[in-house]
Amino acid sequence: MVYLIPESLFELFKQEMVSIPIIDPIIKKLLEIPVLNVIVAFIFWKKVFAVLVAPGLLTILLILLIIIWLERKITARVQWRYGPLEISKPIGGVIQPLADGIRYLFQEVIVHKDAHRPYFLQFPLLSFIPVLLPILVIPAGAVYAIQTPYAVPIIVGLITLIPMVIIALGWASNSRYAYLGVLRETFMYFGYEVAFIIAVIAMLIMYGTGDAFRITEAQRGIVGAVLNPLACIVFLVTSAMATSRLPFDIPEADQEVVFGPFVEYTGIVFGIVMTLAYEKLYLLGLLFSILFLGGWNGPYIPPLGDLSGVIWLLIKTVIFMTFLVFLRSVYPRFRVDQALKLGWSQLLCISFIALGLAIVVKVGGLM
Amino acid sequence: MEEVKEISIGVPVEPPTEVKDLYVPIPPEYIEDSYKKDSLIVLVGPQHGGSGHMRIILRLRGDIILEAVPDPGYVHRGVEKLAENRLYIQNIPLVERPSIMDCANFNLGYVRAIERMMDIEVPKRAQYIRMILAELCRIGTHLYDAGILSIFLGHSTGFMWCFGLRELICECLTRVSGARVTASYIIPGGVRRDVDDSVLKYIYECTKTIENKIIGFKRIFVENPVTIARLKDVAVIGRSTAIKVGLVGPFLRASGVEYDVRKVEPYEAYDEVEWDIPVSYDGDSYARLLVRVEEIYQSIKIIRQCVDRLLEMPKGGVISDQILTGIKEKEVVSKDIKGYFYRVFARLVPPAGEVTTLTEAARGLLLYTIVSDGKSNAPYRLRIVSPSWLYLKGFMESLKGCRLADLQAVYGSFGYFPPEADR
Amino acid sequence: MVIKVEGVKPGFFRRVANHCIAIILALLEAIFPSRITVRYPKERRKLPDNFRGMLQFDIKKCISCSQCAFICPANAIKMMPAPNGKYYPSIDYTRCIFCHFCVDTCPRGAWIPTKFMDTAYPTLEEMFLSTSKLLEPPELVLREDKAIAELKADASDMFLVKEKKVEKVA
Repeated sequence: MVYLIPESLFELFKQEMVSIPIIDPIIKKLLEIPVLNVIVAFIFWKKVFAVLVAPGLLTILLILLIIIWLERKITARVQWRYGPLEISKPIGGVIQPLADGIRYLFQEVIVHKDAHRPYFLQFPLLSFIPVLLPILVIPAGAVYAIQTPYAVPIIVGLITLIPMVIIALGWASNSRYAYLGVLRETFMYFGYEVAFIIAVIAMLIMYGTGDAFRITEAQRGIVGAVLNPLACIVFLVTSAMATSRLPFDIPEADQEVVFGPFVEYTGIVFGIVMTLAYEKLYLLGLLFSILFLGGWNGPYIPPLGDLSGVIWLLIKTVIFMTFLVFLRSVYPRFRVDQALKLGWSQLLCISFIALGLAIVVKVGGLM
Repeated sequence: MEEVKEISIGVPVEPPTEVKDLYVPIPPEYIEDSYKKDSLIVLVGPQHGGSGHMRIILRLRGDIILEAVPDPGYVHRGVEKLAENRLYIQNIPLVERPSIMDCANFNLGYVRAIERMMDIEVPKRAQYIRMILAELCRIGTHLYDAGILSIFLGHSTGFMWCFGLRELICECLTRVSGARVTASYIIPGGVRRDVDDSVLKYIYECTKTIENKIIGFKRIFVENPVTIARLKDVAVIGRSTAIKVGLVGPFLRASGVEYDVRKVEPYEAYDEVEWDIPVSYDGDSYARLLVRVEEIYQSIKIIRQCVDRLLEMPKGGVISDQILTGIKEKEVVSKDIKGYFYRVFARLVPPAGEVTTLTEAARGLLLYTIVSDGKSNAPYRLRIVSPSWLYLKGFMESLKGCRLADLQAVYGSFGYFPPEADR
Repeated sequence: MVIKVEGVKPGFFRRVANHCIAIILALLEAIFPSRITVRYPKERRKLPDNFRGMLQFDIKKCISCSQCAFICPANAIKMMPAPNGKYYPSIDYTRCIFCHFCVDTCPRGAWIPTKFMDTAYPTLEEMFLSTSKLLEPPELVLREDKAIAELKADASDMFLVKEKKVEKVA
């Protein structure tokens, strides 16, 4: 009886394994070892593979490493200097963010006596919940966890929870500059949310469904960016506002409110809150690739098997993230009232026009 | 500026003890008054990413600044008192140190005061070399201030490009005098030694490079729509307010007053070269930035004319004969002071009296007063009034009615430099 | 005599054009970078011959007149007695401001400027160099530079020219 349960689970896992032809021989060998085969089959089970490896936790960590390095390198190239080059010179200093993370591990985490201690320390960790949950419904080719016709609304709903965490962090810090930063974060949150949601609704109307698989199928001929360029522009600008990319990094302005809500954090907790914005950028990048760039459409790469869809999706996400991160070297910062005016007058108008365009295209029967 | 309606709750509030315990030079009644009237006091202190070395005490209502009180003096080193214990010639490195990137103008003002007391005339070649140094430092200071404005707005590319261009100025200063900043090259009677033709040609090439690279800087920062939105119509100072409050320099010219010391009371050879003064009638922060960018072009024009005249002039002495009294080898020494520095300058005693000179430093009007008692070789009193100190009041007045985020934009547009203001 | 400078608020199309110009300029800079960083300590900046660095003393030319100690603005030079009874100068490098007034003062030219600008000492007391330490250039414990970089400017651009040469510093 004790051996029956792992046997039935093992059969369940083996039916839905991710097939990657290039490492198939190794997997076949590992599946013959008695206890290890259950663990390997569990990791390569499609649902768990999507959440743990790709496009889940491991990929998030790898993309964090790459995108922070890319931001510093591209900004340095524009500014007539080299960027990080000391740690691993032959490969261009790529593991610099890893070195920074290890240094944060050795620094002291200071909790000052005015802070509300439970929220101050626990909210940075709880922030991973709204970041990792959308991965359940984001498919990447044949690797997916849950297929549901409500995928895109679920993603949008969970992404809008992340600013709550930041507001709670700043409030728990109980300091004057954190308070100013929290006010600015709240204002920015109201500024971009409506235009963002209307742009996403416009694309949903145009495709007629919220299921990621059918959206990607519908983009075999023309990509979404060409079908509705106005919604694409609104999505770009609101993603910049949502993730505090320049010209909208108002809540964490270094020169005005000295890092805003994150001013009192040190040590490894500081490392976690700094990567929060990049993880939100990753999620918005995945959504952008699915809605506007054709998802995982691309030539099939035989040696990678099921992973080829994943690679195409990640390439498109990285291109989107790189463009937003590159804007750091071009623009200064807006003022909070100017950004709010932009969000509520110009972006709202353009998103309504995009909605109208989507309705016209759908009713006219072109899709 | 919009009128913000005041809401009071009618509940008695007490200011927190931390504000009472802090040693800030504002009366406690002020703090209590602000707490009762529902406004917030924010200290943008000396340890802040966007305040230089000065504390600004802000009284905010919502997002609007009601009043800004400065708390300068963190970099006060007592330059005027230190100067009373040093020889006249030893004060030259001392007076250059308050404003490090504007060293030649500070040096020039002090040396001109000594020359006026002793009635010394400077040879033409030395005048042109001094003008080249002064204009190079002016370009360097404007680039530095534009870089600080960029980083205060969040534009790190503008900051890096301005400081990269300033490398050329530092390289020019190195080739002329030997040091990148604080050249200490101008002495009473002229300059320390003559400059080579190759150095003059390098300076000419540098002006062409700077002119070319500023076009790129203009495209990415000065004409960037976000910059224009941040700086336009922010902290406007009108013409009569500017004169009443006491602005100086390019900030006065940006409010519509056509005043430049080099045109009103010309010194050195400024009336022999052709140049114009840029003036704007808008008076806002954007105008202050544009006036300084245009001044860089005018300085380049002056440098080019000086280099041309130096290259065609016959080589001669750069130190005046009037200060070399008592030296037998006047021909040799007037080209290079090496070996005779002590014999000429160490026992320099100006006649008794008081002399004041005005110089146009990069940030505005610079005033030197020397009082000598006719007997000692150290000055009895040296008084320096630097331009940043003169326009501090105008800077604080212009902040009334601005938003909190405009504090950094206005600070950068004024180019306030605390070490220069505190001396 | 007076140039009028005006900051015009741009219209809609001008603003869109300025956005595009700024982004394209930054993209071009990112793809074809022009870097002016000197990779110190593997490369060193080329310094001109009149560079104001640390000083070396030529004891045969000194006549013990103390004019250099008198003129130093920071009081960094002190005359110290030597075994042969004469007084020779020593420099306190915690005070020296590298103005080279002493080089210009010496009637016999006994101070020789070098191109050292980056020496390091473990303790503050060691920075007071007595006369015997000034006779030779500072002791080279480690010399890492393999190339020289010179900042050149021509009519359109400024760039660093690097050559693989070790510069003679003293």
